[in-house]
Amino acid sequence: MNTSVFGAALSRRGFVQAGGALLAGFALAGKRVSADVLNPAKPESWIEIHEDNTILMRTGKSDFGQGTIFTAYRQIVAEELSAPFAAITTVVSGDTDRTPDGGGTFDLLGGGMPNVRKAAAYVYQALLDLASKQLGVAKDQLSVKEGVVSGGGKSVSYGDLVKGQKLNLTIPVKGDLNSMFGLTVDGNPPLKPVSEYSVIGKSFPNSVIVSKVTAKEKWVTDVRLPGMLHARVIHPKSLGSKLVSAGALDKTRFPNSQVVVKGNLVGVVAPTEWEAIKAAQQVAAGTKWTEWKGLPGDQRLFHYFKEDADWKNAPVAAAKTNKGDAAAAIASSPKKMTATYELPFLKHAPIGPTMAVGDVRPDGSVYVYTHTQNPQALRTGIAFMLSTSVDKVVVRTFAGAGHYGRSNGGNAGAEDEAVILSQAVGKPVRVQWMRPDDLQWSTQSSAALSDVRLSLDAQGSLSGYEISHYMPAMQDDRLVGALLAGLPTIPAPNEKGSIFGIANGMNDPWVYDATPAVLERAYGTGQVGQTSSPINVGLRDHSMRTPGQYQQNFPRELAITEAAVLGGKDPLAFRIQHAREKRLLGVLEAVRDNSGWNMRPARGSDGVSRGQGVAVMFRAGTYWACVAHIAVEHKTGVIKVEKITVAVDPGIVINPAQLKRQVEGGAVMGVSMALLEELSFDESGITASDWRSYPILTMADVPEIKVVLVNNSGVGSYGQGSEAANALAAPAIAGALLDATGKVARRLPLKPEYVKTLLA
Amino acid sequence: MNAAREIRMTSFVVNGMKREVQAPTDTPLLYVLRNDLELSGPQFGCGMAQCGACSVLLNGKEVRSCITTLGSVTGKEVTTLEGLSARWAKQKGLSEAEAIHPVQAAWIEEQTPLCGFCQNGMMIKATELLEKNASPTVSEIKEAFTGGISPHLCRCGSYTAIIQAVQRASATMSKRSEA
Repeated sequence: MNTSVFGAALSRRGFVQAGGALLAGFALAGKRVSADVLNPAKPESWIEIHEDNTILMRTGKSDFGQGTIFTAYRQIVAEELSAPFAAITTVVSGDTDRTPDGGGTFDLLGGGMPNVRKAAAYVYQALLDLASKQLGVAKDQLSVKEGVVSGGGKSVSYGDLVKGQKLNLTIPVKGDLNSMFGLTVDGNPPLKPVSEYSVIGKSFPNSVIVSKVTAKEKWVTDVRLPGMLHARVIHPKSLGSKLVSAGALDKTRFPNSQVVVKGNLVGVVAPTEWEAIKAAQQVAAGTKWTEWKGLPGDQRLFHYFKEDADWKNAPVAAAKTNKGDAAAAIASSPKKMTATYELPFLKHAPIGPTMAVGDVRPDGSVYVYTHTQNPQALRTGIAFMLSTSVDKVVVRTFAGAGHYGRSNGGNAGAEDEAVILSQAVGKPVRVQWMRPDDLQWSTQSSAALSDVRLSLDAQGSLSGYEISHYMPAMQDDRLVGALLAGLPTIPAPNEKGSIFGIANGMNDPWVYDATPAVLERAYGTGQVGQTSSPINVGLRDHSMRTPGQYQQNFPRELAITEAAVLGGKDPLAFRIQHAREKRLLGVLEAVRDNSGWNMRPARGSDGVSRGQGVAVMFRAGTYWACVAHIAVEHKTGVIKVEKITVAVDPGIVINPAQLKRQVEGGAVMGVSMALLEELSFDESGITASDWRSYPILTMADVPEIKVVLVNNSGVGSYGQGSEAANALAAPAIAGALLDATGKVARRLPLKPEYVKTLLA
Repeated sequence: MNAAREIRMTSFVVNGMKREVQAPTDTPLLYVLRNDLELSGPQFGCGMAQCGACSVLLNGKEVRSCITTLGSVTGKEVTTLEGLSARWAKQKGLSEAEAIHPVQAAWIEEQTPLCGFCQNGMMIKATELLEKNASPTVSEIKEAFTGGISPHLCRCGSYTAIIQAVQRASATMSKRSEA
């Protein structure tokens, strides 16, 4: 038997006594699939239908706390299959040798068309074909409910359809498994009409929460291999220091430890974790490094951006929505405003510092155990570092501390060091970064600067808007341990062959369609200090949550609020006046009606002022609006965020309860970024070393959070980007400060000292 | 001083069972729990008592196991996330098999964790709080989670969900104690 199912190929490999199944695997266009691609002993399939009516699904993505792969993905697959949610008993994720598609844990809902949806749609068609034959009923006369196919007065369950058989469905895919983006399911299988959805839209719980709460989850921190050694890495004194000499190990105190030196990488390996820590401290004290002072320091960062950085070397990005002659419009308008906005470097700052276990085996195979958003890309990077074939490398992923985009290009931080040390000592090695390592040697979210010019016409409407965004390259996926050890890595953003380069993109779509003249541009440059660093490190940057978009949305949204105030208008009404898109108007109205927005807020007295601010964003198919209510104490400059209201329209809401929790979390991180977060660094490196020098919001300061979900099924698809919630707080809070005090804060974070200066 | 000579046998109780560990007495309890006793509840977050990911109950009081030395727990009782349900069962005279600690049940009901890495410490803190104060107000909850040696930190921003889970657990626990 060999049948074509909308471009997928259904075949029967044979009959079996027990364990019959339909396995859906993949074929690259134009390539023959090896017979064992769907060998259950070598499982690489997307979806398996088992004869006991259970379903297994696989995805190369991993869970980073959104729960999406355990909730939304299962709902999407169950929906397309018309099977019960509970039938999907197993979700296999992330491991390079056990999952099919690769790619990163970002854009999980794939513009409404994630791989799992199409894979499920193919499987559904294959099951209908099987049922049609078995029941002797034409395909278009069949209907499916809860995994049971009915037609012509007869019915058969999915399990019975595959019983005693070994069926393969080969799904067409395109792309490169080992690249950052992985494989994408190809073709256009028929999809279930949205009007028939019954699984999507329900608040199914996240199955992994039970195991995490009851201490049954196997975290990456729990990985223990036979003979495994513990290691700590002694990172260089600065982001440009070379090793002069490694300190001598005191063998009388640490008889079981050993020091590994490879280039500028110094590791200390011991049988127990505590000995590794103490021995590393002892060796570090005697280790000598060259000095380096190649960074501007945090106090001079924006001076450096304005005066010293080279913004002319990268192509300038212009928004597709640019229109009219903004310069002429501004020149001829009665009211104008010019402003500059500054955003600091931020840390992803996971609660647990990165850790990984590396196991370079005698046969040359390499196993990496970690918590990464992009296992296949990490696999490729490790193979490249060792100058070995990618087939030799396996990456296994486990639950870990979320790090919000830091590893979406593969590397969370410790993996390459674990592999290098394992290769050196011939045993599995567990590298755990300490808190200072994680703050000082991981990547950061890029700092940015934006210049705005805008104008109002005689009626106070926006007549011209011009913005220029400046941001250094933000996607450095080089393995830092490999860099230190002098081993091969992928190119830096400024180097030839880099995937992303140093160009900045227009990442925050323009949404105020009624504006007659708009000019938005984005300028890029290399990473701060990288090229002058003798070890090619400097301040490495990486995408975080809403990469590039947060940096562009804060200046735009605060400038729009300022423009409203300049024209004597209410900032929320001003936005409604300039928006045309119905979904944007919908979230603006929802946030107005649910936040207690007051068209003429009362200013406070007795030294405390209260204000309200608003911000909007369009991201990944989803419209967002946020209102912040704050109180600011004039004497101290302390801002207390009292309430955050977020309205979100993603089109179809897949799982309301999970989305609500994600939005709440994003809002809290957003308040944290707005009020507290700023990476401190001097001319040599990052000076933040703990939670006191890089503070984040605590429960004491968590505001009341109200989430309004706008389920807009008429959109016909689901957008995503729950991380957008954390970009919205800052411009809304700065807008509220302006409302409360009449003073505008164009730089983040809004620390008391800064606010006090503004109010003085 | 030879590291080998600092190694001593330390005896203490973990989740109701007497345990003996041969290790240097200055070893932080966290590494003993994780590496010697293979418990997965307490997590390494900072090693400086600044975040609470490593929290355990020591004789009923929440402590940071990353700065608590093995030597200092000699003869004392340690409860980790793994031991919460048994602790509840013992307190209420329930059979262990049927029991789940109301704090853990509430964390599941409320779908509190996002990445979940900090939630060990959050649940330990909640248990300590509710054993002392069965019906805390929101400000008492905030005080419990931010007072003490350092605030309990969550980077994913689950604080709202934690407060709701503590309130839910509180409701269950006070209902139980009235019964």
